[in-house]
Amino acid sequence: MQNILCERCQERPATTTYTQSLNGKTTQVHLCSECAKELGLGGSFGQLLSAFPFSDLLGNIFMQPLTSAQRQSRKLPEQSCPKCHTTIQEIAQSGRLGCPECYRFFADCLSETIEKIHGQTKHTGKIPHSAEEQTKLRREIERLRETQQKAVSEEDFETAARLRDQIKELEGQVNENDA
Amino acid sequence: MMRKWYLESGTSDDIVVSTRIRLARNLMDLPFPRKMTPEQKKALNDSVYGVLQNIHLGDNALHFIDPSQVDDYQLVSWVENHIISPDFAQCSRKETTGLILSEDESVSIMLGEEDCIRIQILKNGLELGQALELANRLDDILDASLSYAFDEKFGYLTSCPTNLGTGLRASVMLHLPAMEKIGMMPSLMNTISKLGLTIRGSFGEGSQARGSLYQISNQITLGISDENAVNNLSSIVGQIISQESAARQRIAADETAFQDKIMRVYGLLRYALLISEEEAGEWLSLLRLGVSMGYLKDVSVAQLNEISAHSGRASLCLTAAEANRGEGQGLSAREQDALRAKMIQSVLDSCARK
Ligand SMILES: [Zn+2]
Ligand SMILES: [Zn+2]
Repeated sequence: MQNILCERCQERPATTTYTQSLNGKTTQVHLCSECAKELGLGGSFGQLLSAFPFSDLLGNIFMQPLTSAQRQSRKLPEQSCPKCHTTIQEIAQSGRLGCPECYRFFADCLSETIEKIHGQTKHTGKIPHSAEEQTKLRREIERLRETQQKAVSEEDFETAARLRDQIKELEGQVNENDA
Repeated sequence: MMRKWYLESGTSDDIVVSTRIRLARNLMDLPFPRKMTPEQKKALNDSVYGVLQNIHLGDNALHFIDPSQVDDYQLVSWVENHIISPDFAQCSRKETTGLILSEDESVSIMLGEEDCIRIQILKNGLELGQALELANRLDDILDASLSYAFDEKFGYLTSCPTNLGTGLRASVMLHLPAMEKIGMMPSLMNTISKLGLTIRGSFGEGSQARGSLYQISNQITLGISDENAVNNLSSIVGQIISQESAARQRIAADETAFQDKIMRVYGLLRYALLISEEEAGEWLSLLRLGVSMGYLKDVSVAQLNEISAHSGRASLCLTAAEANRGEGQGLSAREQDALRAKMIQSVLDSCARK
């Protein structure tokens, strides 16, 4: 350990080895006692915890494709999130977003990564009460659309027209709630 | 005082050590903790404490804890016993965090880790359904009063995109000494990764599989419902349980030799004067196997859990400090090994006396 330099400050000699692990990437991180302290791992507390893996010691690089190659070809937005001021570069480096608004603001850049992680981009499952009404309305609209399609294909235009009006009304409600 | 969760008996607890459910939640009007100001962190604590203040989980009282006031050994001891995450312990020493812990330590709600709120339920044995139900109950209580960060497309919004969707991580800790011995682990790991699950050491990603303990969790959280994720995990765990059972029969084919090995380890655990953390892990793993095979009728799985819960470095120092009313700080490695041996001996002695 004597001749290993701290990987965080690149100045002082490292005294303890920690494990950083996130999204399948595990690395050993050598830290000096001062940097360890700044990371909340000072003294005997840090020594006791050195047996465990941490997800964020030096910052992560799991979205790297976004920062390097894609960055040139796809022109990432220069702006930062209007709410928390996180930049896409910061997200790419840390693997983490700054606030809920980041998901909306950076949606275009993130959707590919999200699909790569989950193989999907559409939530199914539990919803909080605040979103219940909207989600129910939208699911109902989807259902009515399918029924309407069927009515059209069966040339039952009367039913189709009635369904169209219902859909319109529900869409109005959704927009009203969104506003 | 209420018995700790690991002292209760659980389903399939000869192979399944414990079950864990974790839900990640954030609030619409607050950034994620990495971007929060100290004032916002305090506000987060206050609002969650406010909601849960009058909630009663039967006899299982909730305690509201300020981690900055908790001593180092206690905090690391909770990490050793999976009650809080290593990241949460780390956060707690550099910024404001909050912790709500139930009397039996089976419910822990971490505030201000990577996400605003992390609800965690621990159960002994294989209890995915029960654990999910309790997590959902607490989640619904918080949801009724707080405004969760949610998006119809991405689901519950989390600081790290890997938790998007349900924000649910369901994990089962398995004891797989026989499959390990026969060399079945590489192929199991390969299969698991193709099923949208992960298999890791007992402390998750980047941790070693000590004492033949493996943690299997769902990996995908977006586009799969909570129930389906849990059912999927549950059915795979069921298959692994039967494979491990079969493997145990195979390695015990020469029963006398096998039983001899386990009884020798029992002798070591009961009479050795110095036991290191590594030795304890390895030997207890064999003893656990012996208990499940019915060789040691006096020893129960709960007692093995009790030993495990107290044999970590910080947990030992904590016990010593409590016994000496705050003294006993900084035990040397030798003192720890002696104390560990003494603790193991006293639990095993109490088993034999019954
Ligand atoms: Zn340094
Ligand atoms: Zn933001």
